[in-house]
This record gives sequence, C-alpha cells and structure tokens, in this order.
Amino acid sequence: MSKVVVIDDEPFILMMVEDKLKRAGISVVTSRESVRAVDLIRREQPDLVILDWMMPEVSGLEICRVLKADPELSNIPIFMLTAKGQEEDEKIGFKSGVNKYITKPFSPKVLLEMVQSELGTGGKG
Amino acid sequence: MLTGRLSFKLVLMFVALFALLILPFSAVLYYDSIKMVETMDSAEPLTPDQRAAFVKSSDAMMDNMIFMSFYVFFLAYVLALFFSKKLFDPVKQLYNAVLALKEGRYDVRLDIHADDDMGEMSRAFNDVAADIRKKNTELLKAKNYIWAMSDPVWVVDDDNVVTDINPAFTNLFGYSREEAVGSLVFDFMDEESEKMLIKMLYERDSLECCTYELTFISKKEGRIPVVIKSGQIEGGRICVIRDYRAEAALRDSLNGERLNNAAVMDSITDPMYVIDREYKIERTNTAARMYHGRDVAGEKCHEVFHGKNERCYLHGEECPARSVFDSGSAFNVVHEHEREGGKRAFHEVHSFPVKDRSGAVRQVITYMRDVTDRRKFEDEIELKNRELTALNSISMLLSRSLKSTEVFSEVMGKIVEVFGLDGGGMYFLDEMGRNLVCRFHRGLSEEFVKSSGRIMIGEDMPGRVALNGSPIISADISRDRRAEKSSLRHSGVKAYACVPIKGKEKMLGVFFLLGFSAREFKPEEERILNSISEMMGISFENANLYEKLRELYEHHRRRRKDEQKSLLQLSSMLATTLDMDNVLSSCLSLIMESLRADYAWLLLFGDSGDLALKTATDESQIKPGAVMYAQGVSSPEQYCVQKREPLTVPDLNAEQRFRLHPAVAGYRSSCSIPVYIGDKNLGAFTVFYKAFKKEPGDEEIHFLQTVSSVLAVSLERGRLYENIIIQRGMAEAILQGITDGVITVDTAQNIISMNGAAERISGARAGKSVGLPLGAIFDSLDNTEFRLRLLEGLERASKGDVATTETSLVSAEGRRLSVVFRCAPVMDDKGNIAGVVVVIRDLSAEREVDAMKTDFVRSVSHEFRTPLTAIVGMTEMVLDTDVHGARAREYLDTVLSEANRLSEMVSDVLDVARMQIGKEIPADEAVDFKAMLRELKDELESSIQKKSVKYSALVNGESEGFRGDYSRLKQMMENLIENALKYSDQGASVDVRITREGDSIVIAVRDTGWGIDADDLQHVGEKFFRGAHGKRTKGTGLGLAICGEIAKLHGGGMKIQSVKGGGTRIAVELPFRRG
Repeated sequence: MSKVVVIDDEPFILMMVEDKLKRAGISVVTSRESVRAVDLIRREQPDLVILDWMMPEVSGLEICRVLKADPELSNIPIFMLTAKGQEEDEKIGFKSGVNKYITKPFSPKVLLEMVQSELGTGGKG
Repeated sequence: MLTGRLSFKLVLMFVALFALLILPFSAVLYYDSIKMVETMDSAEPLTPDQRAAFVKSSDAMMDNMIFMSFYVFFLAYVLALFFSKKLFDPVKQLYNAVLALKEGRYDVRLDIHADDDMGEMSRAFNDVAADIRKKNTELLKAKNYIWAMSDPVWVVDDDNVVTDINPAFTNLFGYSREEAVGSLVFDFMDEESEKMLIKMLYERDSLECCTYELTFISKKEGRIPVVIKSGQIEGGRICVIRDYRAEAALRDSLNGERLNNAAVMDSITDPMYVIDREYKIERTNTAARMYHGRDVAGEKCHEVFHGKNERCYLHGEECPARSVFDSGSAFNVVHEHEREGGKRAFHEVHSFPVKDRSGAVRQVITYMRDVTDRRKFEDEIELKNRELTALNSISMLLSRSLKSTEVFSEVMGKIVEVFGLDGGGMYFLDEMGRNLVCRFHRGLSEEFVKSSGRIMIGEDMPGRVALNGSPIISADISRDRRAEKSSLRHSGVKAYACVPIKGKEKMLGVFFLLGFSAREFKPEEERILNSISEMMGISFENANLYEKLRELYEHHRRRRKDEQKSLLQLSSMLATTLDMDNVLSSCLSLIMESLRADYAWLLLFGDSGDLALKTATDESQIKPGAVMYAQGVSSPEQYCVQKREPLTVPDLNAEQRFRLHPAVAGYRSSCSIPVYIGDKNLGAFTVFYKAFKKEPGDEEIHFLQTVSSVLAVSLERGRLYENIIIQRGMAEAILQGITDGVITVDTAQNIISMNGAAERISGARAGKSVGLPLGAIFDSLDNTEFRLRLLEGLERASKGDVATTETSLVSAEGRRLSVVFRCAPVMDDKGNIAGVVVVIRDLSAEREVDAMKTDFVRSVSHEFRTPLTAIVGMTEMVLDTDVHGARAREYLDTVLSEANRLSEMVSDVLDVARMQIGKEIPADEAVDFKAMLRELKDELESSIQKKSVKYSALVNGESEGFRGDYSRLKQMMENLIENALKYSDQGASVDVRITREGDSIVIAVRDTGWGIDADDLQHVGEKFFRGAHGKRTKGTGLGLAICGEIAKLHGGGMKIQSVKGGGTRIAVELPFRRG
C-alpha cells in the first residue's frame, strides 16, 4: 500500500485529504506541525509528500528544500498545496523541486487523480 | 708456692676425712658384726668352729672394708689432684696478672680457657685491666698536656696549699716546682688580689668551676695580671692561670677611649644615643639624660621616643635606626615628637652607623636636635610664602585678562584651592544696587546656586557683608550666632568666609568661601582674603571699564560692518531682483539708517525735465510719481546734479539759493547726492536731518557715492528689464501653475529656470540653482541612475529629438518617487536649438495606488482561497458521498464556518473601503464601555482560554455619557484584543484599559506578546500590511486599518508602541463627546 504524508496547518484540509486518499486505499499520515515535518517524513519514508506552502514557523517551501537536499529523501515526489496563485510563485516552487503545484481551492477528486498518477508512475507501487 | 700450699691443704683434708669418717664407719661395722656373732651364739649356741668361722669372716670383712675404703679414698684423692690442677692454673695466672698490674704493667692480659666461672673471671679481669690501661693513658696524656701547656697550671688542696705546678708556671712567674709546692696560694699575689680571692672563694665556695681576675707577683717581672680558671677536683682545685697582660692593657686603653667617647658625647649639647641592633639604647649622653629626666640606656628606642611597645617601622613609620642598619649609611630626618603637655616638638634626627671590621653595622649613633623653634619659623615663612604665592597667582590671574567671566571663574577656583576649602562664589550687586547675584562659583551644586543665587542686600550673610562692608569669617557657622538665620545653617557648611568686594567708590559685591568641615581662619589668611578682595575690586572695575570700551569699539565696528553688509546686500539685491520699487525703498532706508538721518527721498528726472519723487522713506504725505520740483526750479537736487557732486546744506532755513518743497520744510539740514550714469543724469537722493548737521565726513560721502552709483546702474538696468519682466512674468505664472516640474537648460545644460514643482521634486531653490548644471540638483548617490537617464534625454533633445523616460528618483525629503520625464528641445527665433526643456511628472501616487491594488488582490485572493478550499473541496466530497453520516455533518459544519469567515473578510474589505472614501456615517448613541467589555469577554472567552492568556479589562474613571458608534467601537476593540491574542504566546498577558484623560477617552490594549519589528512598526495599520508575523498567522491585514478608520470616524487617533519581543501597546484616543 502506498503511503502519503500530508503537512498542512489547516485541520480541515488534512481531514479532507486524508478521507479522500484513504478511501482510495492509500495510507495517509498527517501532521499540522511544520517544524517536525522533516523528521516525520524521514521516519515514515512515504511515497509522496503533500505540503502546504503557507504555514507558521516553517513554510512548505523550506521543507521542500530540506527534503531535496537530503539524498535519502530527495527522490520522494512533492505536491505543493497553496493559495498563492501567481505565476512567479509557481516558478519558485518548481525551482525548489516541487513536482506538482496545486492551487487552492482544489477539488479533492482531482487531487486524488494526481496522487494516483504520481504513485503509479514514479512511486514505489 | 700457691700450688704447694693448696696440695698440702688437700692432703690434710683427706687425712682428716679418713680419720673422721672412714675409721668410725669401719669400727661400727666391725662392732656390729661381732654383735651379730654373739646374738647368733646366744640364740643357738655355736660351735666353736662355727664361732671361729664367723669371727674369722667378720675379721676378713672388716679388713676388706678398711681396704676398700682406703682404696676409694685414694682414688678420690688422685681424681681431686687431677682436677685441682685445672683449677689451680687459672688462679695462678690471675695471681700473676694482679701482681703485674701492681707493678704497673698495664698491658697484662689473661687467656680465657673455658666458658666456666673461671673464664668469666678472667674476662672481667681483662676488662678491668683494659680500663685501668686506658685511664692510665689518659692520665698520662693529661699530665703531658698540663706539662706542655703554655698557660701555667697549679693544683691546690682544700687548704689553699699548692700541691703541684707545671713548667709554664715556672716560666711565667719564675718560681721553681720546689719553691711553689707547699706554699699558700696567697703567697703569689698582691694584697688586693688576696682579699678579692678570699672573698670570692668564700662567696663562690659551692661553685664547681669559677674564674677570677687577679694580679700575681712574679719572681722576676713584678705584677702580672692573670685570669684564673679553677676546677674542683678531689681534695682541692686545679687552676689554669692565664697571662692577661695584653687583654688588660687593651681593656685599659679601651676604657680610656670609652671615657673619652663619653666625654665627647657629653660635650654635645644635643641628646645623643647609641642604639644596638636590638633597638636598645646602649648609651646616652648628658643632654639625653637631661632631656628625658633619666638615663634611658637599656630601654628600647621606640618605647622612649614614641611610647610604643613594638618597633615603629612595623607600623609603617620611618625609623632612622632601621634605615641606617639597612643602608649602612647616614640618615637624616625631621621627626615630630609629642612633648609633655601635648605640645608638639620637632627634632632633626641625625643617625649614622658604627661599623665593625667586616663592615657590618653594629650600632647606630643618633642625635636629635630640637628644631621646634626653627620649624615654627620655617612654617611661618612657608605660610607667608604661600600667602604671597596665592596672592601672586591670584593677581596674575586677575591681570591676565580683562574678561571678567574668564578671570573671576579662574580666580574663584584658585582661592578655593589655596584655602583648601570645598567651594565658593562671587555675588555682584545688580545695577539697581538692591540684589546680589551669584555670577561665579566653584564646587557648588546647581541647586545651591539656584536657591541662593539671588540675595537682597542686607539679607543673609552676603547681604549683610555687602551692606556693612565688613567681612564675616567663621570657623564653624553651625556654632556662630551671626549665621543663625542664614540659609546655609542647615546645608552642612561649616567653615565660611564672606568678604566684600569694594570698588573705588562703591560696593561691587562680595565673595565667599565655604567648607564642609570646620576650619580656623588665621589672621594672616583674613589678611589675604582682604587683599584678594581689594585686587578683585580693582580688577572688576578695570574689567568693567574695558568692557565698556570694548562695547564701544564693537559698536563702531559693527556699524561699519553693517554698512558694508548693507551695501553688499543692496548691490546683490539690485543685481538679482527685478522689483525696483522694493529695492529703492530698501536702499533709502539703508542710507537713512546708516547716516542716522530722519528722512530720505529719491527724485528722478521725468521726460520733461521735472524732478519727480521716485521713492521716500515716508510716503504718507507724497505719492511716488508726484512732481517735486518742476523743470528750472532751483533745488539742492538740481544743484548737485548739475555739479555732479554731493551737496550738504547745514542749515536749510538759512539757505537762500533753493526753494524747498513744503514736505521737507521741517528739516534743518540735508545732504544730496547726484545719481547719474555716463552722461545721463537720472536724478538725486537727499537725506534730511531735523538737527543741525555739519559737513559729512569723507567716509560718509564715499558711502553715499557708492550707493548712488549702485542705484544709477540698477535704475538703468531696471528700466531696460522692465519690459522683459512683464513678458517673463506671464510665462513664469504659467510655469508655476503647472504641477509637473519644468526645468529649462541652455545648450551647456546649465539651468536657466525651474518652476515650483521642479523645486519641490529636486529640493533645490530656483534662485540658487540658476546657472548650475542640471545634474547638480539631483546629486545624491541614490539618484545616479536618474542622472544618467536625464543626461541621455538631454543629449537626445539637444539633437532635436523628444525623449520620454520612466524611472525613479529620490526627492529632497528622501522619498523615492516614480517619475516620467520628457526632454524637448527649445528653438530660438532662427530655428536653432537654444536649450532643452525638461518636464518631470511625479507618478508616485499613481504607482502607490497600483501597488496597493496588486497587494490587495494578492493578499485578498490568498486569504479568500483558504476558506474557499473548504467550501469547494468539502462540498464536493459530501456530494460524491466520500463521507457519510456524522462525518458528512462535520464537513458541512466546517463549510459553514469557513463560509462565514469568508463573509467576514468580505465585509472587512468593504468596511475599510467605505470608511476610507468617507461614506460611513457613525451612529450617535450612548456607549457603555463596561457592558462592551463584558460582551467582548464572553465572545473571546474560548480564545483566551485556548492560549491560557492572563486577561484583564478595566474601565478607569468617568466614561458614562460617551456617545459614539457602539458596534464600530466594539468591532475596533474586538480587533485590538484579537490581535493581542493572536500575536502572543501561550500564557501571555493581555490588559485592556479604558481611561478618562481630561477631554478624551483612551482605549489601550497592552499585551506581552511577540512585539513588532522596528522596520514593520511604521507600516502597521496600513491596509493589507502583514509584517514579519504575517508568515506565522492568518489574516487580511485589515484589522488595524479598520481600527484606525474607526478611531478617525470618532475624531480620534491610534498610537502603536511596540518592542520586538517585548509586547505591544495600542492606544486609541477619542475626544469625549456627549450628547
């Protein structure tokens, strides 16, 4: 079973993503604490990480940079959930190694499709 | 012999034993055997044969018995003889050895044959013999010593009879052994020695060993001083007699020297002491004994001189003896000692070393010279000297400069220093002579000067001194009746001296000195104070005189300077200004002021040759343009113009040549100066005096002529420019009216003109910038880019192109402005490019609005997207039946609350927009702040508890009756409190205070939260501004903007104070409005 780690400070988003992915048979680990996100990811070794960009203390972008800099974790694909809709923001995200960029508000259905597609092609299976 | 005797004794012993023991024993045995035969016979009669046989056997037994006994004894004898041989030999040896010892052969030694008793005895004998041998050797040695000794020795018995002498005795005293032995000891000495010896022997009888010094009478050389050392021996004494002639002679000579030294010491009239290394006084002289009233020899020097039990240097005092012991060289010092009755005495202490042959200091000789009187004298001289030095330095200070401020301040310091006091000051009488004002002070607190800086004459001590002219000098004012009412009484001041400063004719002031400890002022010091006061009086008057002179000089200098300045001003004004009327009237005023005139006018020739008034210092009577003197009328002006030279009329009334205009009829004198340029006579100006005025000096004439020529040039130029000015004025007005900056430059890119808007943008003034290169008015580093662009534009324009460039520049106030500038060529009549006109438009306001809009869109869209995510995503999931039942319900609740949040944001945005454009009209209703705080507490309770915030809210003072918009104010407070909660950590404090302050209500919300960065602080309250904390929290950045708008709606304002990490206080002040 594939495993996805979701980090977002909004509990309802975590709830939504978790419910949607679990229903599709994907194991989901969620956390609101951006500070401990990297530790969590290192421990869980997920197939995919979904990050919120704007979080208090440590932003999703920073987490993304840390993950990409770590040889053990740099292979894990990263989806960035964000309310930032500007083009230049997207560019920054891609530069930092974000695989997919999902703008809020998003459809959980579409998100699930994107996750499945990512796991089917690039994940561990 | 010994053996023979012993053998004999042994034989005897055997015979005796035989006789006494063996014979009786044999006889008894024989008798018993006879008896036994008889008994047997009586019992049973024996046959004779038997009887004979028995008797025979008894006899035989008897014989055998005797024989056996004899044999036994014999055998014993032989054995005894054998063993006695072993016994006898050692005994014999011992005997011989003892005999040898007796004969003086001490080297005898016994052989030890066995470890028995004899062996033991032999060993003991050997030891004894060795001992005796050793003793004998020692005795011999001793005897040899005694005989070899160079010192005479005699042995006397208890009856003092000489029993032995050694050869040295004979050598020294000449008596032979025979002569000496048997004589009484007293026979060898003089009578005195005999007596002394008898006495000593008697006294020291018990002593085992003693030494006496005696005088012996030698056989040959007469009296010989000797020292006898005697030791007790058995039955008498052995005495060593030492020839003591050399020592005695030395001692005698030493004694003589000692006596001599003592005599020398005694002849010195100063007390003299010899001190040993233990600091004990060994000897003193008569003077010392007299000084102390006793002989202090044997006492410690520190006890004698300082009454101390321990050495002085241990207490850190200077000890002359120690210095000499340490250094080995002489040491002089003046010591202060206390005499009886507590009087102080000074002694010059001279100490020098007494060294032994090795150079070590054995003793110190110290003598003290009483220099008390000299010291007193010296002290007096020193005091006098100090007085003179002080007076001298003060007089030097006083004469150094004539500037009273400088001098008196220094003098005051010097006096305080010379007298060793804590402070002082000077009071000077004011001009009215009523008050004393403190002008110079030293060592005094500002409070003191403030409180006692002004004293009425006659009041307090300085006032009384100034009034009476006699000083008040007190050692301790706390005990002085004169100071009973003084303000100084309780200030801690003790020593006080207040001395009047008198001038030649009048009292000038006083000076005073004070100290915080009591101090006697000696008569000499009082004298000094008086002298100083006299000097100060003179100096002060001199300074005053000098100052008056200086003022006079300054006044003249200033006037001259003013004149020149005025002239300069005038010429520059004339050169630059185009408003001629203004210039001319200034010019006249200047002339009038400079010449102290009462009235001045300028008359110019009209086209018809009339002299008309151009301007006058007082235009109330005549209007400019009025004809004063018609053509041909004789007037001073006419006259001086014709003569082309100044004309002074000392008495106008007496002057018959001229017809004066009635306007100047009241003046007594006048001075007219022609104004002309080249051949052209322009007119003349005249200054009038009410008083008689003699001929003006060359200086004045020169000044007037200068003014006149300046005027002439300006008037001419004025006329020439007049037309241009009119034309130019119009263009100028247009230019100034434009909001864009317009700058015209010539072909060299130097500024020709600039308008007000250009002035505002560049910060440069047009008047000062004309002629400067255009780049010079944008010369800040920040504008490097702008200058480059500008030069490009100018370059293009000078080639005939029109260039438009958009860039930014930093204005004079330091604001960065977005600008667009346009450079266009200026053509002259002939179509040549004569310059460039630069038009700069400030786009900042527009750009700001743009940026704000973008910011708003970004921020709002971002903030709106989060709740939209819940609404869109969750609704979709519920519809897709991804969630059911309670979970679906939870989803819908979230959708609802996020939709509400979105709605609030929308209304916030609308609120602030409405308030900003002034569409909001606040309600006018009674506001109950207490009720408002209660409602807010209830509404925010969950947030407060969630963060465990210590929340307190209080209304201070009168707030009833306040009128305003309740819901807006509540919204404002809610925003403020929510912010405080939002930007704080767990457990922080939030304190809300509503206070009545005069005519205002102050609503303050203070938290102990994160605080705001200094950089962010200036932007907080601007719309959509989130600052550094925006990354950690959510919000629209509108809360505080709304608060600010609500405060404005109520006619008030909002202030934010914050320190990063130290919390924030936001206070809204609203004017108290009542219905």
